[in-house]
Amino acid sequence: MSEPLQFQAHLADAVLWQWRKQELDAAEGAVAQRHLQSCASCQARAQTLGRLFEEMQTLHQAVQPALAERMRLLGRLEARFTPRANPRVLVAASRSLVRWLAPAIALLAVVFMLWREETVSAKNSLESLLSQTREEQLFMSSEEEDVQQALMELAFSPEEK
Amino acid sequence: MKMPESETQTARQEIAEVDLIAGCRAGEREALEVLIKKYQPAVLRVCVSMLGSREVEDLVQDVFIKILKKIRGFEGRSALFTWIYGIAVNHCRDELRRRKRRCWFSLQALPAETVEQIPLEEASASEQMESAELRHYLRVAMNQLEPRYRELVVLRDLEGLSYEEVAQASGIDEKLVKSRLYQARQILAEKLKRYL
Repeated sequence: MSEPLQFQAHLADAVLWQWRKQELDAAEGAVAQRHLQSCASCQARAQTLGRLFEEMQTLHQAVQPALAERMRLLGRLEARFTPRANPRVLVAASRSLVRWLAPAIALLAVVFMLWREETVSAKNSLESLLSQTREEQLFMSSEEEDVQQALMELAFSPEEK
Repeated sequence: MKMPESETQTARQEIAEVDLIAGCRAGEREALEVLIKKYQPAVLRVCVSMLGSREVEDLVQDVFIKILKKIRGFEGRSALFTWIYGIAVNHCRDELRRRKRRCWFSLQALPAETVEQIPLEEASASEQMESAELRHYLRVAMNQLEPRYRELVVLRDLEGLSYEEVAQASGIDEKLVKSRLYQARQILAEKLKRYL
């Protein structure tokens, strides 16, 4: 009695590969398993395929980045994607700041000068008004003794200056 | 209510991933460090296997720049690592196309994969294989695979992604992934016939 066809023909390399990686479904896997038990040639090929496959994986996994490569990659990504104080941005910001700040400071200075001038002139006019009154000495006195003297003068001096 | 251990772990990973994505979006140094530590080895391996050369540092950097540019649009429809694999594979495809074009216009500039394409028959005739020699042949055989096959072998057999994840990363239907991978393995085994 002859064996079924699938037991007579050799298994394809890709099928052996699938068998090794356990990718065949239950029925296909059982057929492959039975064939391998009876076929020395396919068994040998399956073994060699397994060895080649392992070598391929070893070769592939051996490729690892060096530390210097990792650092260079980090540096490049950081330079491109990490937000930081960019000196060019700062320069641009300071330029616009100067553009607005300088006139603002000048304006403030002018306002201050005007205010100061007005205060001085107000003080002067107050002093000139005071000089026309009898109370001038009283207002101008800062020491207690002077104040008392001015009060005495006010009390005992004639009414009009 | 206490969550099972595996669920707690998954939840913790998801939270960590959410934080990582948020950090990367904000350009935080710590997040970038974690992203690099976690994914640079895989991206590097994919690039090396796809391009057939170790001179891929700039390419890996470009992949990460793409990742960070696109991470704002990442909606979590697939796992972050699958999404990253997808970007790496796409970038390698573009690079291979660029190299092919460059090679077409300039006979001087041969792409790395072409340089390493030494016909297997012309190599050492020694039947006694040493590990180094076997690795050399494996590398050559991989480089001779068409990129559309190579990327599937890399993702499934070397990186260990599931068929579903390979489909997501490569943007190909899962059924097509299965049939194409079958062909890829058959071709690869054919190229290594002398050892089988």
